[in-house]
Parts: sequence; structure tokens; C-alpha cells
Amino acid sequence: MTGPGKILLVEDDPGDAEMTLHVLTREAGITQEVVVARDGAEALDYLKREGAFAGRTSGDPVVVLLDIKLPKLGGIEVLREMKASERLKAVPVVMLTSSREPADVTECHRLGVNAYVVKPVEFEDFRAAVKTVGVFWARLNERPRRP
Amino acid sequence: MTNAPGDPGSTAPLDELERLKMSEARLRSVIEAAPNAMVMMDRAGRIVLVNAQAEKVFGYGRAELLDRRIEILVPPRFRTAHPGHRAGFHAEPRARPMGTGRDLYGLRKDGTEVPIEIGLSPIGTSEGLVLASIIDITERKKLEEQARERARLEAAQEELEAFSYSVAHDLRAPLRHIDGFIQMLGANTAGKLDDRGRDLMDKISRAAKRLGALIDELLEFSKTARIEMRREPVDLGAIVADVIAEFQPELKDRAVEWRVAALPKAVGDPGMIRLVFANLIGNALKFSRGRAPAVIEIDARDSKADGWVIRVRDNGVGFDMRFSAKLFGVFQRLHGMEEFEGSGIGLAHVRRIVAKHGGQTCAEGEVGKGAAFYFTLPAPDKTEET
Repeated sequence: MTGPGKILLVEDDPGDAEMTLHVLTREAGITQEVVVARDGAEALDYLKREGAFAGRTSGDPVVVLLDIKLPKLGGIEVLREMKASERLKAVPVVMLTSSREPADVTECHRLGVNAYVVKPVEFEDFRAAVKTVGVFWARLNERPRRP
Repeated sequence: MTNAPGDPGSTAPLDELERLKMSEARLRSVIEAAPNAMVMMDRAGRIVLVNAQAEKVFGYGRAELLDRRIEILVPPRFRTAHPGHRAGFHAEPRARPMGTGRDLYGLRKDGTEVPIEIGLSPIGTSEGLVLASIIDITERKKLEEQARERARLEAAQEELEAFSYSVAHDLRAPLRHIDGFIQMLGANTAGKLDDRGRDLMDKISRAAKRLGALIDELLEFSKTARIEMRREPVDLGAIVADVIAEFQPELKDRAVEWRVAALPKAVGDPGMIRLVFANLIGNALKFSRGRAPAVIEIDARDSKADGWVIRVRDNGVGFDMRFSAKLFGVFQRLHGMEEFEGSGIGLAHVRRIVAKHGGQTCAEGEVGKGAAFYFTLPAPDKTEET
């Protein structure tokens, strides 16, 4: 039985998605359900309750884990739209990306991202990073209750 | 000082013929003394006058040229079109360069070609005389070709770096998957694998880690081209002290003697120069692992013309000078993987960074005795002059 709230993982790479899910659900002790969006457009549809998610009744995710390189709409665009929306700007966003480009880090922080995490190549480090992010945002961080 | 007709300042009258003769004499002496090759021809293209420089450029004595058609100085492949060009000029005679945009060549007596630039002037007489002023541009073409060659090399290098960057970047995800899924497999099969099975999984893991290190080095190497290089005063002593401090944790169980001389200030990109020292010092430490103590010397001397010459020397295994040419190539290694780990990119990166600073790299080594790596960097006052 999953707890209240969900985690939105926006990741197009199946391998990375599987590994992230594995760590979140098996090792971080996350009770929330993890929803996976495969591209930026799908992520926004989910968040805005549009398109395929028009009838969605669940609340906003407790955190959005966002990759940068995505098909259709890139992660930075998704971040921009979220922070421009009155309702969505309060949803915590953690970039989870291979990119260490200074330009990307700067732009994301300028847009108000809550954290920027570079996906480590070594699994030990990857596991530690995802576990830390999951534990912090899904268990430790208090979210306002939404009606 | 006589007052004869023609003397400077003379007030004696000249008749018309005298005046013409003197004009012609003046014209001839100007043409003869000109630094460019001068060839004058009539309407039929026959050479009526050449100067000493023309003899030099084309390798003829003037007697061999006078009265000959101008086409003997034109390479065979242009010869048929040439009379047409001359007719075109006569149709609209005005001073102008010949063949703008085209590469022009002349033919020497010995049959070789010389790259030239030609300026044409109609001489205002009824004979339809044309004066061609010709410059030998062999030197200039050589310099242009060298500059083009340098630009080509630079472009190729930058393309290689951009490619390396994008490949290395894309390789990270599959690498992460290999490492990740192997570990997950390990957890999944815990207890079910025998020693051999565990050993195989371990080998896969280690290979993935080595691949990761290689990719990191490749990414570092390719970053050099993508980042704007800074040019500021750099305290080499501070950088070296910092790099050595970073290595200390891994040197806990080793005896290392550091002999670092007072190092000067240079001009360049601090981050890149730091990478150079990290590479060279890292290598020195690596290849002197078997020594107790390992002795690493770092010093600098002023070479006046080339700026500072910095040396990093170690008493490690050294290398055979016969193979020194390979040292700075990408992925080149002079020692087997079993002896010393490493991808072999480091020195190529060092060379690239130093070249970007306008410096040079070289190395000396002796098998069993150690190695010394040298690189030059501009000194602060010297760049003020450029």
C-alpha cells in the first residue's frame, strides 16, 4: 500500500529509469508511488492534468525528478513552465541529469530549481545520490497539504 | 655648372626633339631602376623593353626577350587565351591589375613557373604600348599556404575535441547501466554464485570502472577546446603547492621527497595550468611507485626568448628515448597496462594546453633512472610587448 503523494520521474532512458526506480523503491524506503513520464510533454500533461491525464484526481507530486535531455520538450523547458505557473511553482524540482554543463546548472538555478544532481556513472555513487534525494524530498521534507 | 639645355635649373631653350629624347631617357631610367619586373610590349604583343628585375624574375638576358612575343613568358596552358586577353585590354585600355581573383603564373627560361601579380598600364602613344609591372609572389604564397595549413590543423583539432566530447558524454549512460545492473545482479544472485562466478562479475565491474576513467579523461581533453581560455597572472608556486596537497591522502604509505624550487609567476589560464601540473606530478608519482624514496623535483628557469621553462623530474622507471616521439600522442602508452594503469591521454592533454598558451613540451628519460618533462609558459612582462 503506497503512502500519500507521488513522485514524478521524468526520464526517457529505460535503463536509467529502471535503476532509479530500483533504488527509490527498494533502498530508499519510499512509500509513495513513482510515476514515470518519458518526455517533457508527457510530464507537463501529467502536472497540468491535461491531455492523457485530463481526468487525474491525485494531488501534485511531492517531488519531480527531472532529466534535461528529453524528447519533445526538454527538462529545462519543463522547469521553466513549472516555475511560471502559480500552482506548480511550489512543487519541488530536482534535476537528475548527466549534464555537468555550467550553462545548464546556471540556467536551472536561475529558474528556481530546488536542487541539481548530476547522475554519477559508478553505481555506488548513483545509488547514494538517488537514495539521498528520495529520502530528503519524499520522507523528510514537509509538503503543504492541498485541498 | 653650365646653363646648357636640360641642366637642372637651366633657362636655355630646348627644341621639341631634345625634349622628347630626354623624356624617353627619363622613362627608361625609371623603368630600369624599378623594384618590380617591368615588361613593355606593343599592340602585337612584342616585347620592346625589359628591366633588370624582369631578367632576374624570368631568368633571361634582355637580348633574348626583346622583339619576342610576350607569350613566351606565359605558361603553355594559358598561352592560347592570352592574345585574347591582350585584345580585351586594348579595347579598353586603362591602368589596372590583371586577372583579379585569379592566380597568375609566369614561365621562366628554365621551364619552371613563378606565381606573379601583374599590373597593366597603357602608355599613351599611338603604338599601343602596354607596360606590365610584375611582382614575384612566391614568398607571399608560401606564407599564405602555411597560414592556411595552420588554420586547417586548428579546425581539425577542434573538430576532434568536439567529437570526443559528444561521444564521451553519450557513453556515460550505458556505462552507468553496466555498472548498475552488474551490482544489482550481484545482489540478486548473492549466495548462488561460485568463486568463478563472483570473479567474472568482479572483472566486468572493474572493466566498467576503467572505461569510466577513460571517458572522464577524454571529456577533460575535449573540454579544452570548448572553454574560453583565460589569460591572467598565474602563481605557479601556489598551484603546485595546491596540487601536491591534493595528492597527499593517497601518499600516506609512501616515502616521497619533494624538491620544489621557488616558482615564478606566468600568464595563462589557471585551471588549465593546474591540469598540466596535476598530470605531470601524477605521472611522476605513478612511475616512481617502486622507489623509496620517490624523489620529485619541480623547478623553473628563465629562457629569455621562450619565457619560463618548467621542469618536473622524477626518479622512477623512466622510458626509452627511442620512443619519446610517441609520448605526447593521444592514447599512446610506453608501459603495459599491467605495470601502470592509465589511459595515455594525459600527456596529449598537457601538450594541447601548453600549445594553447603558445608554449612547447618535451621530455627526457632514461630507463631505470627516471624522467623529466619540460614545458614553456609566457612570462608576464613578455606578453606586454605583443
